[in-house]
Amino acid sequence: MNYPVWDVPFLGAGMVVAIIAIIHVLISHFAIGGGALLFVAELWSDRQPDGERIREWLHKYATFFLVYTTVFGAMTGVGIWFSIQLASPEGTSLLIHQFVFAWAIEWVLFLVELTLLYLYYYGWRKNSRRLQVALAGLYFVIAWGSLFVINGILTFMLTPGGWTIENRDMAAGFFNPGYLPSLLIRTLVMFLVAGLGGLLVAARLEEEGGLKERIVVFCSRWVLPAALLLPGLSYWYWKTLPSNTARLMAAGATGLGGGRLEVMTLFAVAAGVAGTLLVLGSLLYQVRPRALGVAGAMALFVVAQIGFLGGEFARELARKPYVIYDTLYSNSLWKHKAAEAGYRQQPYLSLTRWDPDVVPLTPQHGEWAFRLQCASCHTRSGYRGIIPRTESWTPLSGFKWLETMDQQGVPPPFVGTAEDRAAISSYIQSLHGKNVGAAEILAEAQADGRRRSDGGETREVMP
Amino acid sequence: MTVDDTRRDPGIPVAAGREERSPDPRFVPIPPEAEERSSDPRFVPIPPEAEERFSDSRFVTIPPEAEEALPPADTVTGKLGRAFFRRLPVWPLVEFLSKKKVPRHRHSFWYTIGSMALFFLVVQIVTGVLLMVYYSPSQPWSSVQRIVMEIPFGGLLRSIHHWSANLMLLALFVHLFSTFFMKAYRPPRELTWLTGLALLGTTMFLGFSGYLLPWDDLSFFATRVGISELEKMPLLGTWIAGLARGGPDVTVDTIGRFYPLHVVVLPLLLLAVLSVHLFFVQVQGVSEPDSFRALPPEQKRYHRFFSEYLVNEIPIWMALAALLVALSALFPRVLAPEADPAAAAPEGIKPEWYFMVPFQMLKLFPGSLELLGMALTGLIPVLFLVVPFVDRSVPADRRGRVATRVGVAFLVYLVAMTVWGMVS
Amino acid sequence: MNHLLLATGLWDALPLPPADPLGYPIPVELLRALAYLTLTLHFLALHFTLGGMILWLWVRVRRPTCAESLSRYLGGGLTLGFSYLVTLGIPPLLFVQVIYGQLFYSSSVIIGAHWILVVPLLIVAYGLLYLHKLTRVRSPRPQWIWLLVALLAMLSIGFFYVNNFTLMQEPDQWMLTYAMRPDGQSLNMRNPTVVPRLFTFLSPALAVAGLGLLLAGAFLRGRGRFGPDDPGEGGPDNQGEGGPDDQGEGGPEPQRRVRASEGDGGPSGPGRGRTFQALGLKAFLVSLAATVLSGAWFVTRIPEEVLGRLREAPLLVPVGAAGVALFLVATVLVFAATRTRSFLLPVLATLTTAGGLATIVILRDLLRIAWLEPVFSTGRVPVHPQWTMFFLFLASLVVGLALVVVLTTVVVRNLLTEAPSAR
Repeated sequence: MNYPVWDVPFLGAGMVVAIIAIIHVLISHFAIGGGALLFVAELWSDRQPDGERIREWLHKYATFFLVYTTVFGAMTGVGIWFSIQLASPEGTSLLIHQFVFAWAIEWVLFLVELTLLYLYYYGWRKNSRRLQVALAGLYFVIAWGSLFVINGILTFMLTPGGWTIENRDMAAGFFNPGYLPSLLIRTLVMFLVAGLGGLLVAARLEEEGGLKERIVVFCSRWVLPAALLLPGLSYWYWKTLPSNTARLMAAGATGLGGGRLEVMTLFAVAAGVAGTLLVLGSLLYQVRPRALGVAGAMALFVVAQIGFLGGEFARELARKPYVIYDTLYSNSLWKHKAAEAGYRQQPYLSLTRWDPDVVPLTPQHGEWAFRLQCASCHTRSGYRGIIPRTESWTPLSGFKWLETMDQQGVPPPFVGTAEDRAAISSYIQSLHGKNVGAAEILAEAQADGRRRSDGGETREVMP
Repeated sequence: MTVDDTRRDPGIPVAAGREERSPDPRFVPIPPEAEERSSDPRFVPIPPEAEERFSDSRFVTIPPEAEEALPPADTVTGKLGRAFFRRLPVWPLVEFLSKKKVPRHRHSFWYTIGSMALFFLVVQIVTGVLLMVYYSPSQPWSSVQRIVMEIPFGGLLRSIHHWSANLMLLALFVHLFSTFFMKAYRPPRELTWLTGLALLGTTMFLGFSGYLLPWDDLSFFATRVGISELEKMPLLGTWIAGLARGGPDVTVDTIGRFYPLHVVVLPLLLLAVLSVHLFFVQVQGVSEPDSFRALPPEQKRYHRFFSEYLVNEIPIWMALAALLVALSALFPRVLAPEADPAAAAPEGIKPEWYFMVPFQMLKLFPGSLELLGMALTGLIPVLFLVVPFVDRSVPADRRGRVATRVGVAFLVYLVAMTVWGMVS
Repeated sequence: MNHLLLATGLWDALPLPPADPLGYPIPVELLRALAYLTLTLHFLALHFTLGGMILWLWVRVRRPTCAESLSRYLGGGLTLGFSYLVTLGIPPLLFVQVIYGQLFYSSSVIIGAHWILVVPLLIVAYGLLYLHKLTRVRSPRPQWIWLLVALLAMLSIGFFYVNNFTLMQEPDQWMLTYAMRPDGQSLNMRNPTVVPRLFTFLSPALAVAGLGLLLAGAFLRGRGRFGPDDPGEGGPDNQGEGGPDDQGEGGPEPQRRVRASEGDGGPSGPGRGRTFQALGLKAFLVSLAATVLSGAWFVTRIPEEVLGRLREAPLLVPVGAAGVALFLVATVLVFAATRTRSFLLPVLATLTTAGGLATIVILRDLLRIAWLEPVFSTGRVPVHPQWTMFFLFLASLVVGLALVVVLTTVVVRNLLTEAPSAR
């Protein structure tokens, strides 16, 4: 609303965030869980007769871990920041101003975590065994601390709890209803990913003396906590969701609620399928550890990546139509402002001021009104494209639909005058290759309105 | 080494065997003849009349190597296994398969592509059967709409069917070119190669026939365009097109033809050819590339197909399954408005990507040159058909190198034309 | 132009977003102090890494004496430096969003496509640096092309940063730039200071890298070698950034270690130390001269009206004078440091240079304040204090840094001991 909209063709700004984020989320979970694996494996190797050879594998694991998490993990972490400020400056600004010191603390934890990792890795040959074990353990604790912090901010967006824009109660927002289940779920998932990383490194081992078998079995056991506890925790998490979200998601699964299988449900299904497959895959290698090869281990990593994609997409979509639940809509419209009398009836472009002074009812009017009000979620023909969604629109039906679009469950309320709606409807017709002027639509709508009030006709022609 | 052995830490001594247990006075001593049959006192010895039953001439004698390989006779699996091999003389088959090896080298990954296509086929059959539950050829569009809008997870199933079809074709093309560049078509594997080509063709026809079934705008006009291109073929074109359409134009009658083709005829054909194809692969083994073949025997490394190699395929199928669901969530297959045969074709109607090359060729050679374009397109399958009879020598000779170059040119041509067709 | 807009009241029509309704969490002066501190640290790591990359490229192409030693030292230091440069870049970016959010977000969106490119470019640069480091011994020919690409990626990132931070100061340019490319493929080339600003912020790079060489040189002269089993090879990165690098690989790879230490054939340990020091001095002087020149160029390109407002800033003269003094002292210390094997002088030189960088950071913000004066003043933003969180942050910072310092000391001492552990 107050900011320009980054109008990314085909992908949309939201998809740019998603691409960076789902890569990052897998690695960041790995970066924490892997610490736990390093710690436990250090202890485990001490109790094995060939501990030295296990530590050779562990060193390979640590090398992979170091490069993968610092190059791709840390950089994409920064990337999420870059992308969210482009996709939703208003929401990012709110988060930053509310949680600046939580973020700063997370940064301190990250700085320490990074240093500990380097001390552990570069001190590999010279540090005493006790120091190495301590460094690995401390690394895990500190890294988990960074999850403890960021989890509050993440869950706040969906379930802000007792926080409101007026009371600015940070503690209530941070330790919100979704905080604990999310923290536990992520903790279990990071153990799982740590095990998968171990499998990936173990896949290259040559089988001799049962070493590979033992390492593979050791790694594949890391899936067990998630396999046993995730279903229950997911149910708990689901119960903390806002009722509207839970209703939409359930409707998607059973075919109720208009019968549309909501995309949110599909992503949740993808996460569930991937999770189940990961459990089965890990069990497979528990039974047949020798068979583990690089392609198989990589495939499990791909499954994990898809699981993260499903889970994180479902979580993001669960906020619809908000970016901060019940506070700020996805297109940066403040809920409390939209509720003010008369606010929504003002000309949209005069509110944002981010258009190049377009003349009302010209094609540019529709284009800019679409860009500034709709394009933060919808592309033209790409991801969440507006063209396939408006196949059945007529100029008049589109004009009418916009007025009440917030009643469809997903879009936020429309802000703007009848001129704005006519201009957007005309713009959408132009996207379908049809040339219908906004002024024409406005005239048609006025005639339609007169007809209706004259004839007392009540039949609705809504698509 | 069995699984139990491998999991046990070498440092820990094996638990004392049960033979060493001191005799327990609570149990009745076992007569020596029974002792001979089974050393395990928990099992009742087999009575002599049962023994006789097994020596019955209707049963097969289990070869000694099978006795060794099967689990002990006193376990459930051991009993079931023996019962099975007494009835069916297929132990040589098991032995043959257990010796099957897959070479390990830098390009081993490409062997997986075929099994990927197989996985997609299984998905196609399962989702296809489920879609048939609600699909009705007499009300094609509205029944598909019902699947998408009302049936729980119907939209998901339809999207998976769509994505799996596309990925199956993609996998087949990759499989085609990877076997081509590994020169797996050379003798003695010509028939494997030819059946593979037949499978690709059948799958393309499956795609073409399935595409029409939803009877929406896109599918209707794409099919109409597709068949009318076919019609331009000399000699038989008109006849084939008429046969396919069931008349001069695409109508509901066309669905009456395409539906049984899509769900019965072509799948049966596909399965038949596929079993021959897989039979050849199993009997002849996986082809080894020249670079691998040239290695001295001690440097050649193999995976055992059962179960080492196969176990590693499973996570790959899992990844594909997850991928199908994710793609269906990210890009669900939308149902366009119902086809209106009277309406003008929408702008820029295009076939699916796997028919893009002939489509693009016909665009390039308009009017009287059309036949030339068609002939050039027809050249591609012909060249693939004859290559095993032209390039035969191992290691590759001059012809082999030419074949590789032609293959690269083909690949570039196909990809370029497809991409061009998709973006133009 | 700003005056003209002001006079005609056109500022009201500018699409300038209001400040965030949540306001500042602590007084803005404190926020600024945090931003200055962390940005200075970021610049220090940035210059160390960037300068090191330039040096490494030069070493690869020109192959001077001690090329192998230098490579080893740089290979260890740069990957660490890179990761700290990114990590230390986070807090200043956080604080600039708190203080100037509505300006920073707007300009980021306007150049969005380039701004997001920073992320893949970072990954490319860092990844190539690792690749270059990990394959340097195995590969017969040094892959300096990768290093060059990494360096170019870094420079483009700097260019995009300068673009964003200059565009952020000029709300009157926003609408025009945005309307031309709503997909964010714009750059802010109308601002006259973009190029000199980029040069000014990049030119201290070799100076800081030179300081690193001075420290390494002092170390070499003192001990004669970097590690007990590593005659004359490898190098500590005494920037307080995580301790020496163990061969880049660490780990049990004896064959590589043997091969790696062959073939340098140059002077002895102390001789190498002197070479390092001489090179460090040269780099420092070249870099300082470049900084002075580009800084002067930068100042001449600042519009007169902004310069006028800048001159009124009370902090300008003391900070500027301190900057000049600190750099002068640093130069003297650097000269002195080349003649000794003690650590004191190079450490002092590093500290004074860091102080000098801090004055540049402050001057940079003063310029921004002056530039923004007609449109935005931080004084108008309300403060809703979050003191508990602030002190929690300070406490975590103190504890965290203490932990880092203690453990780093322990591990560095381990690395320098003669006897390998029982591991």
